[in-house]
Amino acid sequence: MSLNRLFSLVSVLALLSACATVRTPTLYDDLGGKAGVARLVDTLIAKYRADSRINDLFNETNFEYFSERLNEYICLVSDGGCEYTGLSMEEAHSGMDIKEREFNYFVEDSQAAMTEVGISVGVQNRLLKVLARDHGAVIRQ
Amino acid sequence: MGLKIVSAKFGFVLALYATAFSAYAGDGKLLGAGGLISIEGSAGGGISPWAVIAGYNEADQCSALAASARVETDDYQLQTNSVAIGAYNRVELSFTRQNFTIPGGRLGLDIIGAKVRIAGDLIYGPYPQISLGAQLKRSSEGTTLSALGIADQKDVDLYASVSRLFLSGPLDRSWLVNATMRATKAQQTGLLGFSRDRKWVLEGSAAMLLNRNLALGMEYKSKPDQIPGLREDDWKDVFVAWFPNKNLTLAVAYVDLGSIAGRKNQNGYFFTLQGQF
Repeated sequence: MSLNRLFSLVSVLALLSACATVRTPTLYDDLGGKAGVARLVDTLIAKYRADSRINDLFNETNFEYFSERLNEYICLVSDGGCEYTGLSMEEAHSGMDIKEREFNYFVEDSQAAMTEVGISVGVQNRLLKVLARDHGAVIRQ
Repeated sequence: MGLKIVSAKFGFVLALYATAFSAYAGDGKLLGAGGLISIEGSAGGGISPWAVIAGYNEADQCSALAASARVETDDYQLQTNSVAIGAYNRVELSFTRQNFTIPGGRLGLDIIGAKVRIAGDLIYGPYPQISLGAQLKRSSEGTTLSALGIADQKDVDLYASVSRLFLSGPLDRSWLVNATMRATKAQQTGLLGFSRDRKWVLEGSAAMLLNRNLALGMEYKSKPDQIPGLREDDWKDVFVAWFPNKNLTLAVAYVDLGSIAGRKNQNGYFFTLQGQF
């Protein structure tokens, strides 16, 4: 009898702790976590480089460095808990004089890349929403 | 000498335009962000102007557009043909000819539209896009209106619009929301002439982008309802707009136009096709 009670107690505690560790998935999770974001970043960079409307902006880019920072940045803004070790958005785009239309070309290429790696429209929109906050810090720097 | 200067100036302006048009076809906005060309020529929904500037031009681009729309209700037909220019995502000019077929006759309206974006942005930054616009309207079938005893056959509608596109709204979808305040004397948007008194009316629209190419929305357009002896109802519609690319837009709508010139319950369909060059 007391053993039964002990079992019940253990079961309840186990359930409670299970509940406590269940968390709502972050945007980072919905993007496929570390592996998903890494694949997305590879596809994003491929799309940007293939787009003749904007690829001149990457003439002096170190793509290995860019890829690492982009992984960190997407992780940070999608609540993946990463530390972003790159320059601020203003500094990173300083001297590039990115136009309003060019920002939108990046959005379009990003949408195409996200579609290509199988990210749903809803998750695409959630990521675009957080990235769009940088519009003022990115354009005309 | 004077003529030479004038023609040189004209040539310069033409060259400027040619450069503006050929350098960038006007592809800088996101798909759908130029709205439709409404039946009055101003960019927006089908029956109401929004704060958006026609076409896909951004700050350093221009677009030229042409649109044709048809509204068919139980007793009436409205055919509208419009041309519009959007420049630098700042200024919009439009011209529209409306042909309104009524039982036993026809009416018509010519509309010159102008709109300026004065503040904010449709998508980015802290403030929504705010634009001011005017629509100069003149009846093209004045004799018919005179025969109906309607004396005032031209006037100007003035409006202010606020638009915002929320990239990720309810259901994780992008939503476009618009409100327009219009000061107007128009009777049935001017097709039945104009009244003495200017009235403020409110127009609202909301659309959800199901994906990049397809939007589902609704519009509500208040009307002044001050036609002597006739009732004028508010207009509403639900629409589907398709943006296959930045050169082509199609939309269909179910419209409820209420009572028009004594004929009640004018429900029907709206279809529009527009191209950007």
